[in-house]
Amino acid sequence: MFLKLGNLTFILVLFTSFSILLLRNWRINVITLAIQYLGIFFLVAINWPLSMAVIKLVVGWMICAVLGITCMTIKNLDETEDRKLLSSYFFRGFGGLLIILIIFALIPQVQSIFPPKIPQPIIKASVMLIGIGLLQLGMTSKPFYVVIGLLTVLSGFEILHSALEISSLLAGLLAGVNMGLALVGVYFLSKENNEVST
Amino acid sequence: MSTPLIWIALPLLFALFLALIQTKHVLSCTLGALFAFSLALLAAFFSENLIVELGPLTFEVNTNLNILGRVLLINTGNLPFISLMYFFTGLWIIGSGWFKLSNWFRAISFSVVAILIAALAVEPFLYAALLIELAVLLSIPLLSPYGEKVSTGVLRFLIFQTLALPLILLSGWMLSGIETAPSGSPLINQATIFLILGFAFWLAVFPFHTWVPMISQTSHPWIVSFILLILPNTMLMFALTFIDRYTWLRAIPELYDVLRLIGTLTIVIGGVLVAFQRHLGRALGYAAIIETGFSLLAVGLSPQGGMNWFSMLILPRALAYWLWAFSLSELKKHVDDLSLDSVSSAMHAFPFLCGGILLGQLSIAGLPLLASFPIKRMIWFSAADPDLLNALWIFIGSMGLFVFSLRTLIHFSTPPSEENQCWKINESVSVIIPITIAVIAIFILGLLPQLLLPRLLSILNAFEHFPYLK
Repeated sequence: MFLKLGNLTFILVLFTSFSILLLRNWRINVITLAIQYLGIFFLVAINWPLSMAVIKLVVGWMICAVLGITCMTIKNLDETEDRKLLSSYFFRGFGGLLIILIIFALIPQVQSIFPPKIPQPIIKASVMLIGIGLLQLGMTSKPFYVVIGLLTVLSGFEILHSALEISSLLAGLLAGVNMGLALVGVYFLSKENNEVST
Repeated sequence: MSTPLIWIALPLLFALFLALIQTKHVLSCTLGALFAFSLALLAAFFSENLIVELGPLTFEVNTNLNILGRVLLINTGNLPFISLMYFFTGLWIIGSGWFKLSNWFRAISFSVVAILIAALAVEPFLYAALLIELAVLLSIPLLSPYGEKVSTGVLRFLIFQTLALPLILLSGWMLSGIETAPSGSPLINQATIFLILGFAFWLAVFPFHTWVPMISQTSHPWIVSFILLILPNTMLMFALTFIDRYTWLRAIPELYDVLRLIGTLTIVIGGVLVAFQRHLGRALGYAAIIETGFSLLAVGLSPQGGMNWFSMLILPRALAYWLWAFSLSELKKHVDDLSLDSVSSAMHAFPFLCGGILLGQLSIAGLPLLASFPIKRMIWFSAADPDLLNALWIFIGSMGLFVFSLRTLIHFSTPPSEENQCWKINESVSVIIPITIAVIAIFILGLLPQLLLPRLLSILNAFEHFPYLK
């Protein structure tokens, strides 16, 4: 069933990652990230047993909850100069579109590196998330968006790796790393909050 | 009882205990250092047959610990490196008593070292990448303590270290396929590229080095020096594990040439950039980059005996970092910032601190009589053997730190204002004593390298299949 939904899930992941790149509103970003983790769960479930794939969903939603709750306590998180500028939207949007085009062009070469048994939606979604995540990392110095960028890159890698290897310890450690990243994000956010209040 | 229990689980538990008593500064410092030195001594003098005799009682210590179907394995070959790691942890925990650091430093430093040792011990060893990432995440609160702005350097550190993780894991998957693949398989090239890229991110090799000087400028020198000592050395040991485990990797004829090239490039870039620095903290970062370059170069010189120099470089490096970071952290208490302009004439007021900083720099640079010189000299000579031009580049890179030391000396010794020209010793005895001990240790290592350095060769016992080990 999950394989049949593969292309639809790819479009979902493409939409969520692009909107995370484009928009600078923590509420929208956290909700979109949660939807993205739903897509990741669907893609991982193609190769992994459902009981293991659900780890990605649970951890992803926990990350979103942790980040969301922390953001709620911070005033003026989105009040940055670039949010108000229309040109910054155009810049990020154009960059994102460029990356999407490049990735579509590169997918046959990437596919040749990995075993042919890996379904194309997995490769496409994985490379897309890695590409857009890297672009996000290159375009921001705000800790919140850096952490979201890293989580996006790691998600892309996890989708790909799920098609290559099934290991419960690896899944557990990757969940630990993802949660650790989210906690680092929370730490950065609370530090920023402390600076604003003092 | 098992070795992973002693050197991984126990330290993690002890880190928890240190976290509970974190506000008791002196107690946590003393207990932390004592425990670290005890672990180091135990590892250094542990029985080779892993049998412990306590009076009439005799029991055998296992080398394995099973967790979630995977194994943590520490055999006697790993113990010399573990001993060094805990020795360094003890040194840095003792030093932390002098400075106003995060209360978490002792607990986190213990956890980081225990996790890194777990990374070297885990089987299948590719899981190590995830454990290293956890250690990196744990070190973030140290590098960016509460109450300070999140610096770009810390963000880049997080990004670069995290990006290495997928690359290493992917290369791990490829490596497992290569063992059955024919020798001309494209998988070999792809895995090698992923592997080199992953380690370049981890080891801050050019062009992924930018976070090193950034964090060494903004974070506390004591913490930065600890992280820059522990992380790259563990990652280098992990990299050597790859070469040790995979026959095809060892069989790539260009492997050592590439390592020599990367090492030389790192030394040259680090050396050229450090020569133009105007900040003592940033220079410490560049010195760490140069040292990584020397380690890579030493591994690249394996056919000429480079692995011996690789293992013997670790202790002199640690001593020099300790002295430099200790003096720098003390100086930081008395000056606005650590830029060269701010420390002008400092030698007239703080001769021991300035002397400590200069000796630390010059020891890393490889000045004769100081700790690194005997090893660096061998590396220079060995590098000139296959390629004289390579040695010239290394010489240019090495000169960078000498030039910076000279500039530092000029700034330190600039005559102060006319009314205050006499020299004074403003350091307290509690500061002078550790600096003097470190300086004496550096001179002893430099003058009598045969006393201690050959013992460090036992680090290489961890590698059973590595070629060119004598």
